[in-house]
Amino acid sequence: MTCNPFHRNNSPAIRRYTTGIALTMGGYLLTVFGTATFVNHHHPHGITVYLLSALPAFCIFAMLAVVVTYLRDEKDEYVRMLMVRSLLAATFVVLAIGAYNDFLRSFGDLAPLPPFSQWVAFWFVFAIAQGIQHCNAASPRNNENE
Amino acid sequence: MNNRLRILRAERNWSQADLAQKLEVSRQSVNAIETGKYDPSLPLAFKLARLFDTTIEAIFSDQP
Repeated sequence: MTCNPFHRNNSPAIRRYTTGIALTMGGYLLTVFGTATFVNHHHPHGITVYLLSALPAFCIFAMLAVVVTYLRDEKDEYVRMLMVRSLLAATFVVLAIGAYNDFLRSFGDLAPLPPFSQWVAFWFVFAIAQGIQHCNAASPRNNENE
Repeated sequence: MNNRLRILRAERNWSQADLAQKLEVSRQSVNAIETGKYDPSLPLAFKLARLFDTTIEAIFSDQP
């Protein structure tokens, strides 16, 4: 079997997950660019700024709900474990990047990262981790006498 | 943990995909269990035992 880092099963759970993530990612991008455009044009103050800043976070909560639902519904325990490992890898890399950036900022040597950079880093690391694990699972060493 | 899954599967002339379909898991899962990269949960171990009409101990062993 050849390595396909984009391999995925076709369970109903993964189909719901793919649809849910696509919708929430779309919502996130819309809220990020929508709120940024609104703030740049109208320069709101006070509670409005707090509410606008919270909008992208709501989409991230929705993504969390999609992931939790997938982990609850996926019947293949091995695939579920691979997903959890990838999520953990992405979480810790983003925490490390965040900590590094925060310390540099507190020492006064760095401008803040763009607002959605951690979100991009999370899904990038998640995708890399999923690809590595699926390639590892499909490596020829593991398919002897198939 | 060691297991006799590959032998039992070969005795029945089943491919990994055949076994995966019977267990309602992915072929990757069967491969991971066979190669000892992943130890299945108790429910999946019982499912395997029932499928091969044997006991869990006859499939899995913690002895080298």
